[in-house]
Amino acid sequence: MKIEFKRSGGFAAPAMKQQIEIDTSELPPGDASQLQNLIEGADLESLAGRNPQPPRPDEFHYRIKVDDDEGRTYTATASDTDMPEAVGPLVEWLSKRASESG
Amino acid sequence: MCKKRMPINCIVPPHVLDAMLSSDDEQVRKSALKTLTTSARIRGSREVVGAVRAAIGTNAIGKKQRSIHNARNKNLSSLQLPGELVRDEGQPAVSDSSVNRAYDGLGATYDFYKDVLGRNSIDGKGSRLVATVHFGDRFNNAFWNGKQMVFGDGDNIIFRDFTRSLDVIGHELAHGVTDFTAGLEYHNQSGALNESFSDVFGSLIKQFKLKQSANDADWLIGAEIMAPGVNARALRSMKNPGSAYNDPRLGGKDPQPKHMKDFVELPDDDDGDNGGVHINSGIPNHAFFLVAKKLGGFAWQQAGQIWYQALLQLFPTATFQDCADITAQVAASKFGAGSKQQAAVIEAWEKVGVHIAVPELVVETVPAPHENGGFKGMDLKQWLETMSEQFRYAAENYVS
Repeated sequence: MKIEFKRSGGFAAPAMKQQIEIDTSELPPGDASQLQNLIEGADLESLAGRNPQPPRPDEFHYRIKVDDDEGRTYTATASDTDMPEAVGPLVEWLSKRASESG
Repeated sequence: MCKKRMPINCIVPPHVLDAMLSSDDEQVRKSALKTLTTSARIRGSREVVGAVRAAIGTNAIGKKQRSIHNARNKNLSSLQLPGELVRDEGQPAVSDSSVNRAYDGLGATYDFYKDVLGRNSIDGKGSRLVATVHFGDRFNNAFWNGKQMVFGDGDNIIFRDFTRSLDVIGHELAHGVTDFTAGLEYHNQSGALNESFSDVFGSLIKQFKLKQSANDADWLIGAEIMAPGVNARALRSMKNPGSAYNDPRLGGKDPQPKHMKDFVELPDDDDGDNGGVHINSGIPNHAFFLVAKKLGGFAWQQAGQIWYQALLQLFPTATFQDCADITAQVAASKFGAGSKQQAAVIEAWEKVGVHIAVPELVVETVPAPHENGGFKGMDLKQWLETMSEQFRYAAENYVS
């Protein structure tokens, strides 16, 4: 599974952009299953269909694009003011990984 | 309104209390709140008190009402804003300095809008000022969610606690004021204006608190939240857009332009900062700085008044040109056509590349060469010097 994560916006925009591409097959097994669980829990596929809320000033916007192992591609978006409960932990994980990878 | 269902065993059924909470009558609302807060079931349940109080809001002029809440490092996946109430209006300082800074910052913002601009809080009707601190885990951001302020602690690598900067606090609350006034749409030029008005008032709130003149102010946004290791004076500079930072962890160099010729064309989407709202704000920011510098003294007294009155006249799709035209008109109506204030506004926008056509502005006061009239008694050299002074003055003050 391939995941592309992008963070944009923020008070300090455009300085706080994050972008990372992850191939789960290249992750250590523990991380891969962690990420897979988070993605399943986030139910991104149903999120992908919805209309995003209009942007609020200075908030971060998050975009998660998934190319899954069954050949499907879908992109879900969220923001600091519009963060479904299940998506939060996934965004945190991806954002942390993005900042660690420099 | 309260989204949580809170089963309460009391005589007045919850749906009636709910209706009372949204009443237009302040007394009715107050008594519903009192009922809820004294109910044995929720005594000490400060989350509910917090949510209910934040929902109620309005208040008499001159009386600020602040509520500071603590998210305890949770984010929206496990927290409903505003979170636990930790310091209410009138309560003394607590041990958590983020809470105290937010409390003081909200107070300074309220005082500025009231004392300097005659405005009663964000909505003009005394709305409660609500802030949540410690949002998220090492969260490198602060934002206005449409109803309240939210502050992160920063990761201490790039940013420190966002409550450390009064101009950040003022900036966010100013977004609320813009929502209630001009309603500038948050993209492209109107969005850059939206951002700029927030930087302008954020900066003025700090200057007013510190009693700094335009000359003494640093005109920096976010100086106090930059972590020590970062190559950054601040996030933005109104005095010198493009000079605030240069650090790979911030994506390189400060990209702000200070002139229309360097306006950054970006797509109107997330990747493009909605058409560069945080980037192109450098241009109107610089225009404001130039007006304040030209007029001298305290920037909130004249420049700030002009900008606020302009905000009251602007509209959701306004462009930089509209802002320039309106600030010039406001300056003329407040201080007089041909006044130095109007001239300063026109000159400032001109300097950032926005030309204001003011056909009715006539150079009326060209200094006369001699009091007794005419050039009698002048030799040729004196005449040439006098005339060149005349032409220089006319050229400096000419607008087509």
